Parts: sequence; C-alpha cells; structure tokens
Amino acid sequence: MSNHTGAKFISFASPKGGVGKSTSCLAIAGALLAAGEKVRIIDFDQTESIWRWYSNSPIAQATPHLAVEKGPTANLDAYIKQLWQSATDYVLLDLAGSLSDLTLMVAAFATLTITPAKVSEPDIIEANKMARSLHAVAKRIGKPVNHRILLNEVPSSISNDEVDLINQIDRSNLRRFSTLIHRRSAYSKSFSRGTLPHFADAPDRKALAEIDAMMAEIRDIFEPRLEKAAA
Amino acid sequence: MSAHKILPKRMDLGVDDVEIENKLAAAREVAVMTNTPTVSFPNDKALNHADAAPQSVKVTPLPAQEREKKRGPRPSAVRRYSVDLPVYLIDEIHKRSFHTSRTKKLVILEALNAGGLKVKDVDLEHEDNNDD
Repeated sequence: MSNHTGAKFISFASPKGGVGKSTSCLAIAGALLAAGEKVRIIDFDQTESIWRWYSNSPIAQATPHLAVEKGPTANLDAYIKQLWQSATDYVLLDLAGSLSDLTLMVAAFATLTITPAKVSEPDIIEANKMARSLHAVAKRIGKPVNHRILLNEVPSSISNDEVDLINQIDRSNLRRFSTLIHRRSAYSKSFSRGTLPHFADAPDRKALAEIDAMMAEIRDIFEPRLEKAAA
Repeated sequence: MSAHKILPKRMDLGVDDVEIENKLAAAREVAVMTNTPTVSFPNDKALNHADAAPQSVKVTPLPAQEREKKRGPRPSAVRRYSVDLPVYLIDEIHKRSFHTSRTKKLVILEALNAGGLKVKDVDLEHEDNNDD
C-alpha cells in the first residue's frame, strides 16, 4: 500500500499483553533514527507505556526527528484516512495488548504489522490468532496484509522445547522474522533510562546488531513497494 | 537516496481512499464475525486527570454472555433421597435416559409428574447434567 506521501506504517499488535510490543517499537524507532529517518510514534495502548516514556524522559524529548503522540480516542476512520493522506516518513503504531476491532483496523491499515512473541506456546497461539484475523481481512479485500511474528526475549541458552516450537512455526504458514531478539538489558533500559538502544551511553553491540538485522528484513519487505512507486 | 524521498508530495485532494475504506470495513467485518470486542477509549479530558475514575471499557457481549443473561429462575433446592426399586425398573430408567439423552433424574421427575405428583416447570426445564 503506498500513500500520497510515501510514509511507511508499522504497527505492533498482539492479542496478548507483555510480549514486548512497546519495547520492540522503541528499538526499531532507535534504529530508524540512527539511520537518519524521521519517526513518529502513535501510542494506541491504553497503558500509554510509550507516551509515558516520552513524557518522563527529557532525553527522548530532546531526540531529533522523533515525535510521540497518543492515538485518538474516537472517530478512528477519519483519523486513519487523515493519517494516510498526511503522514510522512516512518509512523510506528503501538497497539494495546488485546484483540479488538481497533487493533484489527489499525493492523490492517498498516504497511507492516509486527506481532512480537516469546518462544512460548501461549504467545505463539495468540500470534497465530492475530495472523488468522489479518488473513481473514486480506481475503476480504483481495490483497495480502503484511504480517510478521518477531520472536522476542529469546533466552541465550535455548532449550530443545523452544527449538521445537520455532521449527513448528517454520513448518506452519506463519511468517516470522528470521532475526531472533534475545533477552538483553539493553531493551529494558529503554524504559528505565529513557534512552533508545542505539542512543545509549554504552550501546550493547549485540543488541544493535540484531535490531539492525531485523531492520534489514523490514526494509526488504518495503523495498519492492518503493521500486514500484518509483517506477 | 531512497526512492520514497524523491517522490513528490501531492496535495491532499480530500478524496477518501477506497482501499483504506475497504480495509477498515473488512477489519470491522472480521471483528464482528469473530466476536472480537469493540473497544472505546477514555477521552482526552478524562486522561488529563490522574485521579479521574477509571473509564469502563465498552465490550460487545459474547454469545455465551448473552445466554447467561437470559437465564430464568433457578431450579428448586434438592436433597438426596434414596429408595429401593426393582432392578428391572432401574434398568428401564437407564435405558430411557440413554435413548432420550436426558438425565436419569429428569426421567424420574417426568414420570412422577405424569403420575400426578406436581413437579414445578422450572425443575423440568432447568435440569442440569449432574446425573447422580
């Protein structure tokens, strides 16, 4: 989906809370900012994790090219249409950890929807629920909806059961990022210190490497669209 | 320079995009079909007050909840009461229960009702599946 201004919308959606939507949203925002992009984050989550992070962090507020705002409280249709027509650059949409009509509408609208999930059955089942709902939307509109699962908080010593679960995902029709995001303090520091992983005083090189690898996959998803738009 | 940066910005024509409308309509349709709850958020005014009362989240009732609401009066209180019956009658009650997919308790209550003992309608209608 290309819009008038070429903006790219990435939504972070999962029917389950606590999977790392806001954390991965901030990690990607940091990677984009480090690459010189302009980033606008819209927090649709009722817990307002990102909005609170931004409000309480002078560092975040002073970060150039980063804007954070709360999502609308009503009249979503008009808001989305207005967003589509006027937004530029990268727009990250952080959604609540529940499956609602709002979640589905924003996720269906986004250029790419990312569902973070830990390598655990409950998280994968919920991620599958999200994928099925978006697949149903895609069938109705007759166009694919970009959706990827992001395996998050992967422990450094992965068990056989977790390997089996990942293999099971790969055998299914669920699509995931090949990059695994491991459990690292660099991610939780986004909230505790108010800095993004790419802008930390002592950046965790391994964390940056995996975020950048995921960004490369995201760019691969967007690239064909850009070529088509430019042609 | 990436391709999207050289795309000229166009004026907002004020025309609703059909694709977006279709997507939103499809998402709403899927939400209704899959019984996905409808969420309304607290308004900005409420969010500005830290001590404001929590806003209730409007959720569309699921079919199971609808059934729960429509439940009528509760069945009468019960007490265990054992009598010795001829074995063939016990067998008959078992068979009737099996063939009519009703509990043995309901079979007995219906027989008593047909035999002239007054059994309240609510006890005949609200027979649960705890067959003892």
